[in-house]
Amino acid sequence: MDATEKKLIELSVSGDIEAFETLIQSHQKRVYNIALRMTGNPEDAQELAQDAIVRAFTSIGKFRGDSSFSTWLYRITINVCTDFLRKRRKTTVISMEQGPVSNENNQGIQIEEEAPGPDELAEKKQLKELVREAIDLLSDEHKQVLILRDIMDMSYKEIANTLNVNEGTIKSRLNRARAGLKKIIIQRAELFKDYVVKYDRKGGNS
Amino acid sequence: MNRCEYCLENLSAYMDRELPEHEMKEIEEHLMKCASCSREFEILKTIVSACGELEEELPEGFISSLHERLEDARNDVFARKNKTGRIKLLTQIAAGFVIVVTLGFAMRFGLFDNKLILGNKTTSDAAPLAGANPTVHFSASRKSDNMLIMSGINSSGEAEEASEPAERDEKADDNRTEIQTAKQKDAKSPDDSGIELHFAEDIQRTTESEEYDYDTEIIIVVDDIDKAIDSIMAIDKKIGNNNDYLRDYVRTFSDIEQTDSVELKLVYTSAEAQQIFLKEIKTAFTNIQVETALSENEKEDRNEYIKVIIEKEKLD
Repeated sequence: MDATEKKLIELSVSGDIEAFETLIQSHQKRVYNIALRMTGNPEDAQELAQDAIVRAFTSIGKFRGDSSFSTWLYRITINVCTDFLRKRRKTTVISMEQGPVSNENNQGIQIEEEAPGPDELAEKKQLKELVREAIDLLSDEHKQVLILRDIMDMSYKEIANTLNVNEGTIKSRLNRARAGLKKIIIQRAELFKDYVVKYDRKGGNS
Repeated sequence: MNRCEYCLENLSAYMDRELPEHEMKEIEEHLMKCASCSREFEILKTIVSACGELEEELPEGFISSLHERLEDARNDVFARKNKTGRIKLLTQIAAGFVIVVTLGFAMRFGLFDNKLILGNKTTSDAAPLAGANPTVHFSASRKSDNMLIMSGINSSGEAEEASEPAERDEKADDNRTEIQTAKQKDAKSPDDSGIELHFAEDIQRTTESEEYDYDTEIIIVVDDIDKAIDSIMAIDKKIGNNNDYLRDYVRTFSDIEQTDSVELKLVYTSAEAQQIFLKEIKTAFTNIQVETALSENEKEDRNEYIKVIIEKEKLD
């Protein structure tokens, strides 16, 4: 922790909002993006990102500097979002009167009838959309590692610190998360294969 | 594990360059030779790079609305340390205000002390407890306009039990304040000097009231909640406890005048105590409803839980 950060934390502990805002300035976008990908919806994401930041502010007196401030903040964010998702799942199950969509088994998911043609899907924008939707369908644990690694670009060590599990677990969890993501994407749109084929062709293959 | 299996297992870490040097090399060599694994690698790269493009900008108004929320939080929380601020906090949280008071230790302590009432217990039961160092444990949590204050006296062992993170997730608290005061040996002479206020770390979860299977639920409608709490405390005292200091805590952390309903949770360690309490409370209040559920597993159920809901009479 550098001296500036330390000072800002001290000021935040005493209730200085400006100091706290300076402290989180470079992190709040990431906090929002974690929440966005965890929940898959901008309204919830804003609410939860702010919940997490406010909570960091009110509990900053408890921050001991064992991890970096950002790790601590992201951990709060992940926790806030995971709690929210659990609650939401419960509500959804009750209100929908149908089995919840299992994260492990996505057989039931169907491609919409008015799906765009292969050419369109082959575009990167469509792939992004597919990936976005697929992340929503991952289990909370898989979402967490994938977001921290592939969106936040954290190292395995940082992820391990944030989630409080060891690096070996992160490695295997991330591998499974990505494999799961791939599986969902391919299930959701057979057309994705076209994209891959095209991609391969560029490389002179297939 | 054959080479391809090994490769696929580590492909993800290979891409992240999170493998030891020699493993990196092995996989690299395998990818040069194996078209199928190499294809997998390309797919993986494509997906991961698409993930990397998902980052979005903060929505408009995010920073300003966050600023407002931080100000609210500061007023709620940091101002709590001085009185003026506290009044502000309490006015804001007045709606949906709940107080849960646990009297577990004190009750037990008192019961075993008072042989006149129980008649069948010896003080030997109380002896080990007298040596314990009970803690008073308050926690306030706030989510939107709901506030929950839990307070309790427990022997050190029980205190641990009570503050254990609840496995149930629905009650993960937004904001939690905890006050712990180490009490003197004698439960009847409270020591207020050691109060320490701190904010509990986000990740902790409180034990929630729903976890208790209430044996009895009492609803009292009164015009003055404050007085009603006093009456309940008086009954408690009659049974043999002295929890006046608890009353002070409730007063300190709630704004009873602004509240429509207060919930007290009472824990009795014996059915007899509960009966006495019920008898007394029925005579003390006129507008009272008592619902008792028969406990299915009496033997396991060591404690008797009573939930007392004190509602303010609506004047309209």
